[in-house]
Amino acid sequence: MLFRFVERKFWYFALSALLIVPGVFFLAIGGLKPGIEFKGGTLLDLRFSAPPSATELHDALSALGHPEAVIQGAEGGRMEVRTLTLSSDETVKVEQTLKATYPHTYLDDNASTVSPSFSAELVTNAIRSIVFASILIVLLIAFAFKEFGWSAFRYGIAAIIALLHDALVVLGLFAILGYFFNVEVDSLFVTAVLTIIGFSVHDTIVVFDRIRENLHLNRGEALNPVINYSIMQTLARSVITSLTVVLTLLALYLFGGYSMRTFALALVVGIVSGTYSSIFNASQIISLWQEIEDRVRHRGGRPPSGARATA
Amino acid sequence: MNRAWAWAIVVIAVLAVWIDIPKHQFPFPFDCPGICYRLGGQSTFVEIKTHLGLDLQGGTQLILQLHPEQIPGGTTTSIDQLNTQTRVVIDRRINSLGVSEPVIESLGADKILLQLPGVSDLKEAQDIATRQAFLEIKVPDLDTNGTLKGTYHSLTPPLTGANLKPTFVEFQGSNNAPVVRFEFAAPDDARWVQLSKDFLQKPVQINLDGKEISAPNIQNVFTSGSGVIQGNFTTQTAKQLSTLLNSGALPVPLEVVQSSRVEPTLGQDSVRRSLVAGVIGLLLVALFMILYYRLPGVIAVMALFFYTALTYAIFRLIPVTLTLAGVAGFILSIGMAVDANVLTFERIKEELRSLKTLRVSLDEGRRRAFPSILYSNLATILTALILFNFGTGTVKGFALTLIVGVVVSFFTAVFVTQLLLHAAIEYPSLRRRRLWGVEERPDDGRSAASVTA
Repeated sequence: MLFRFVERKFWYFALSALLIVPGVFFLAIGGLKPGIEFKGGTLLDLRFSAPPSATELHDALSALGHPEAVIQGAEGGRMEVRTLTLSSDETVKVEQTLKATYPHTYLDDNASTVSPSFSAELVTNAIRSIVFASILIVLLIAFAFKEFGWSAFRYGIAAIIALLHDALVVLGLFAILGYFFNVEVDSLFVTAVLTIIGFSVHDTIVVFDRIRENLHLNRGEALNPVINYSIMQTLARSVITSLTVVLTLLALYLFGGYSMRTFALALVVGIVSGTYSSIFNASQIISLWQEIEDRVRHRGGRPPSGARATA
Repeated sequence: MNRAWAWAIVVIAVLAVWIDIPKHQFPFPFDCPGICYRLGGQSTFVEIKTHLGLDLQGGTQLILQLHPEQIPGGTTTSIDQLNTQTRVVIDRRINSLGVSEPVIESLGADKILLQLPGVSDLKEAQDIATRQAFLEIKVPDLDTNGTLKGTYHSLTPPLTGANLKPTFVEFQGSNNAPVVRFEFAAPDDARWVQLSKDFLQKPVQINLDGKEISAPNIQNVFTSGSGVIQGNFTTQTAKQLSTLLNSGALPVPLEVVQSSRVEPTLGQDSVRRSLVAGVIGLLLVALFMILYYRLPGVIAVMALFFYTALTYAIFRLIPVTLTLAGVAGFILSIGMAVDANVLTFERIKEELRSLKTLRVSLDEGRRRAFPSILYSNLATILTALILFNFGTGTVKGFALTLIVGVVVSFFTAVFVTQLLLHAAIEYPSLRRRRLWGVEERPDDGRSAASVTA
């Protein structure tokens, strides 16, 4: 039995588009909320045995001259307070005042401050590292598939498209979460996105390597059927590896503590998406590319049934 | 795969477990907290322990921006030299505080990363890092009659704290007020004595970082380069000033561009939670592998425990500083480490289904899965290297753990799993194809033992 992975490629592309378009919409309207690391400011993560109400805290902070403070309750009696960049003197003053106002319930807090100039540098770094990683990956794949000559680059580019797909799914999801629930992204999130990129390429390479091997074993066979049974042969591995990774992430999400939640969520979504794109998108792009090339070559006439392999 | 390899792997496993065991709880076999050397009667050791990042052990982190353009009168010193000099001064200041294992690194030419484990006073940390501690003695402006104008000017060359002997705190007067006692070293001691002759019964101004601390009247001619700084000090602020003066002035103004502080209790909480998550993750993966792959699954789980022990041992040896992100990366890598095994096992199953013998299937499976394993791992290492290069702090830690994890999992999958698989087929009872997840061969249903290479 052969599942028709290649013949139905436009259905799979359509499903991907369906997943990506809403996310891109929310990205475009600025749904992705940068954390203080990326926009500058101070984050106080306060811990109370019995937390005061958000309005009460806001009043206290306004009285101290920080009416811009945004208060958000979190699990375990924690309250997150975001303000503009505070100097350490100001931070200490806020902490002492809170300690005095809530002597019995205030426990302790974590404070972090990033100045706006430094955060701009972090954003540039994050973007630069993603671009740089993509270029290196194209080159690595082109090298790994060098026996295909110039076509090797189309494998690299297909892998990058699959990778962008996964990055967009996760970015889109967090744009939606940011828009509706004020979920912020920090450098841990950038780390998650880069890990997803690595995993996505990892998955795609396994499928591509199988296509290469099968093209080698069955010289002269049409490309589409080879892609089809290559995906079939790697299907079990793709699903099982994702499953084991998702199992560990599940443990991280449930038991790893509050700060790990967003990180684990981003990774789970990215890895499921990475598996989908490696099965349903990456090789289909190679197939589409070949079909277009054949059509251009046989301008006027019908292309040969199923595109030919170029290997 | 020969016997030497098997022994090498056993030795590595035993060593890894020995390194993993916390030594303060278990000082066997040597009464020494790590790797001990004895060289010609001298014995020394490298302590082996898990290095926890600030977010896990608690403490304060500052990123400092150098501002050479704010140096009065400009400077000809290069930014790299200023960076080095600044780090030396901050290092001296921190040493006198007794902070254990501080981190002082340059982040590019114009920034410095400062991590102070265990210091939870943000204000204190920032004072230590950014106060210039530039001491200058100025003398009063006099009009032609010799009366005071109420303003002060610098001597030429300026009399500064650059040439001080170590200062200390003493207590003076009826109320035991803390003061800082300083003493100029040659040749400034002579200038100090001369100054007391020139301006007897007149005030001199003691400035710190361009601000007057005090302007005492000179009561008598000094006999040595010694003097005191009075100010409204508490014992603590007097001690801090003394420390700053002893460590020398910062060569360049600094600005804090990033600061963060984590309470030690919250750090410990994160460590405990991560540990629980890691153990549960490991067990879930182990359970799944055994249920799905049977005998090879058991072998994969043994390899997985080997992987975990060896990776953690390497973290302790290098040492890799474990941050929250790093621990997450480690836990994640447990899930990814089985991938190479999954690739190999799926290949072996395919070969077995085409009715090849076990031994041939094992070799074919390894040979054919190898390119996928190699290139997919290379892709992960490439992205991790980029993370390491461009990232700061947290991200670097994550990248390093990921790189170590991928390299070790590659080694484990290629050597350890293969070794165990080949060892397993030496036992006839383990050669039954059903144990390997495929149907018995139709022609040898009678005797499983006949299914051999």
